[in-house]
Amino acid sequence: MKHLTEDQIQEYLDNSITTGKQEIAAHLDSCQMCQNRVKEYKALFLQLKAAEPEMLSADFTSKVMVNIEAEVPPVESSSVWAIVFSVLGAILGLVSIGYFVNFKPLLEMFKISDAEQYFNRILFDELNGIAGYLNIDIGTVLYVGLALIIIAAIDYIIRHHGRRPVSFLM
Amino acid sequence: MDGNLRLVERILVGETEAFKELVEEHQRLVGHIVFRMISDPGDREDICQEIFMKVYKSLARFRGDSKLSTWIATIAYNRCYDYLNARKISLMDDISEDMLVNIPSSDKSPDQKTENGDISELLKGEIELLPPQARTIITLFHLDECSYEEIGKIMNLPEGTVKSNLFRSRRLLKQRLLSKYDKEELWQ
Repeated sequence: MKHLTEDQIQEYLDNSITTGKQEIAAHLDSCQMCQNRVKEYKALFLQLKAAEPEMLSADFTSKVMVNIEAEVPPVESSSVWAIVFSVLGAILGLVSIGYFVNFKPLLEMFKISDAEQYFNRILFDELNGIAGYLNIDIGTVLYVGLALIIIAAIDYIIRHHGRRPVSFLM
Repeated sequence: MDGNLRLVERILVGETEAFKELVEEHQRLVGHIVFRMISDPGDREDICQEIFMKVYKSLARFRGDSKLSTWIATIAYNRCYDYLNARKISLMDDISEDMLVNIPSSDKSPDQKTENGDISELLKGEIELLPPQARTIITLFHLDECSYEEIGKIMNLPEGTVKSNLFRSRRLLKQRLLSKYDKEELWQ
């Protein structure tokens, strides 16, 4: 085998040789000249490890923190959407529960007849009125609301217990 | 969830102390990139501060696809790149074969005694003479222990380019040192 090239020696020392590793090692065992060249690079690498450039001032972190404290916290852009979805989902979800579940006995138990009237007026008159005006099925809208609540809950769990630090609701 | 993602999440929920940890953990890396790429000492620390402000503001976009250190180093490198670009300073100068073969003749004197500190200072001076891109690659590889792949990601270069640039720079540094000092003194 010919003497090792400069690149082969460097690859050998960086441990980045992909092919012919054994041949290179065998050559090095028997060639004093290449061993010396390896030694030169090893010495250079040691020096490079010690060639630390100048460093930042000792109070650098404090200076950064002064600027940071004057800044608005970095809100996750995606979490804005998560909040919108959650609020929308919560409203629709609650309305849908009210729509499908009969609250009358509960309201009567607490003697909240005014609330019942108000609730009924919103749910059955205005909500149906809006749905009719928009020509959409109110049941579908309410199911979407429930789905949004579930999505927001899963998103919250993933963000807080999973590997991703940000919401997928973007 | 790994430590870095947890740290990011703590910052995102408004824990300022967590950002302090991030700065302390990564200021050496950012300092290495900035101090190697930017020659004007008056601008270096301000740029490091700007970089950490940018990190703070962009943190919500960190996805954990790469290491946090690689992501921060990329922001640092891009900021330095813009700085050099605005001043029309080339950072891509290649180290040609010509530079490798035409090393200035030795100015070493026979009674010149070297100490480790001298070599280290001389080497720092020689690194400064390399193009900004080359000295950054050397620093990231030897001081920050980044792989070719990580350096490629940070500097937006193919792995092969990183490798060839690194090899040429080290070869040049070795030859320059050998032209100034006796081998035995140098590698003692």
